[in-house]
Amino acid sequence: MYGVEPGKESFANNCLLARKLVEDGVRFVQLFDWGWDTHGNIREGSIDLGLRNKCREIDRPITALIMDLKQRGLLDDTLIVWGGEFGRTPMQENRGNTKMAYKGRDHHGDAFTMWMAGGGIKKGASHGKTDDIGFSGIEGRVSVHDVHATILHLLGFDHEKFTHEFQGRPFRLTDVEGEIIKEILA
Amino acid sequence: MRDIVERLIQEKLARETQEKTRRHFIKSCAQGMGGLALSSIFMGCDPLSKSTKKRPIAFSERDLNPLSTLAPPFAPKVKSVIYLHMAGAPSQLEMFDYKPELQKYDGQDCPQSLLEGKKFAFIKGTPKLMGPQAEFKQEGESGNWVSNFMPHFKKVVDDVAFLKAVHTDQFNHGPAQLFMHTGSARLGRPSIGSWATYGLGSENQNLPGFVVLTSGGNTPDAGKSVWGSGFLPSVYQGVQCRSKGDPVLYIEDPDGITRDLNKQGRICQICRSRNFGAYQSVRNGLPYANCSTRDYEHQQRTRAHSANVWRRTR
Repeated sequence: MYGVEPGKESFANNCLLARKLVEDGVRFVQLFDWGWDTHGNIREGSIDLGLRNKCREIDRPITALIMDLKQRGLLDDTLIVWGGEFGRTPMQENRGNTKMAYKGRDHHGDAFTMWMAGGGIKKGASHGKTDDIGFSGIEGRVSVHDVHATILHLLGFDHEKFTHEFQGRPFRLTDVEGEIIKEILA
Repeated sequence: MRDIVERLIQEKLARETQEKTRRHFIKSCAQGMGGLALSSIFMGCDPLSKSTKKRPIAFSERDLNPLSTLAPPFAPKVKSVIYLHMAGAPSQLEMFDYKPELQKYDGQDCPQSLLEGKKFAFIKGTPKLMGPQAEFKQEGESGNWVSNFMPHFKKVVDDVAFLKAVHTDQFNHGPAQLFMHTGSARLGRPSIGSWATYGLGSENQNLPGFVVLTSGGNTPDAGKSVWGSGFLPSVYQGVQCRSKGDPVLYIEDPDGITRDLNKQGRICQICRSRNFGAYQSVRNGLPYANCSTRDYEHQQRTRAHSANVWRRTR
């Protein structure tokens, strides 16, 4: 189902393990998959070849993870969050003003896609829109703090009141910002 | 073997005496002079500090077991989180954000208006626009776009909710990953997994409450701080589980300590009583002493339990 290869370090193995851990009552399972930096400087880091392979590595395991949690009745009690640290430019990278060996895109924080699935999430929703070339958000822009506020909300916290005193003042995960993204909540 | 244990106890006692002297000195200073700033520094590390007044019962339970479960203030929608982070930043333009217009401008110079005042990691001068390198289709009843790079995903597309216009002000991997997981691009803040386990504890006392799994041949650019506990007690940091060797580092007994000896829980018992004594002896407590106790005991249980879980993927 997941495409697990026993004994190997793989995203698929980690997805199966994540399901198992959540089933066993672990609160937070964090997966990091490395190798998505597609600048176009090397084959593995190219948009048309490298990225296709990376997608292949996650496509089946992620699909299996959601289906597996669902068939076990665990999806409603679990939140799955998917994303990277930013997105990529609609422009082809021209590192040092030269032509790159492969097709690539540079880092871009103005607009990128994330998704969530599981308990409390509006199934099949799509919130926010980028301009015609995908450079900037033009509707429903959300910040990292908004994403955090939404995750904490689903866990049962008011992100503005969930604080920890440190060196004389209360600290929050969302600092002084963050709004719950109601548009993706069921 | 008994000699070794006795020696360890002696060493521990000697260390404790040293610590006690210093802590008690500071304690009396803080009491004597009232406003000595040091007391507030210790207070910051302590789950017993101000919150005690609001939720005394919950936190006294936590004194002994920092991962005991706590109910959140509001009815939660979910119990657990699985956060999938694609380190390096995946291209939204080849996966979920379909831009047919971009294809029309493929190979053309990027308009200057878009470049003015913008900072890119590597792009210099005037780059060319590049159309989507994948094919897209609307999938499921929702009709959300998915590219042919993700052929299986269409089966679950109706279960997910997309955020198509997320933004961040960070454009380098390390700071951007820190920002994404701790809410700050600078080091020192607790990660979201730490906040979750700090606020809720964990239901399974035989496994870490916050587990980190990595793949792709490398760990995140920002290092272990992306699952760090920052200023929260260290017991809430993520525990990285590895696919080679012991699943958790230092989960096995050190050389010279046999399983048989440790099975009786003697070492844990000694550590617990000594550390809890240290914890209680200073007014604001020594949270780290309690965390380390918890670590020893947790190690014992995790070792027994993890073999069971890990077997499935090996």
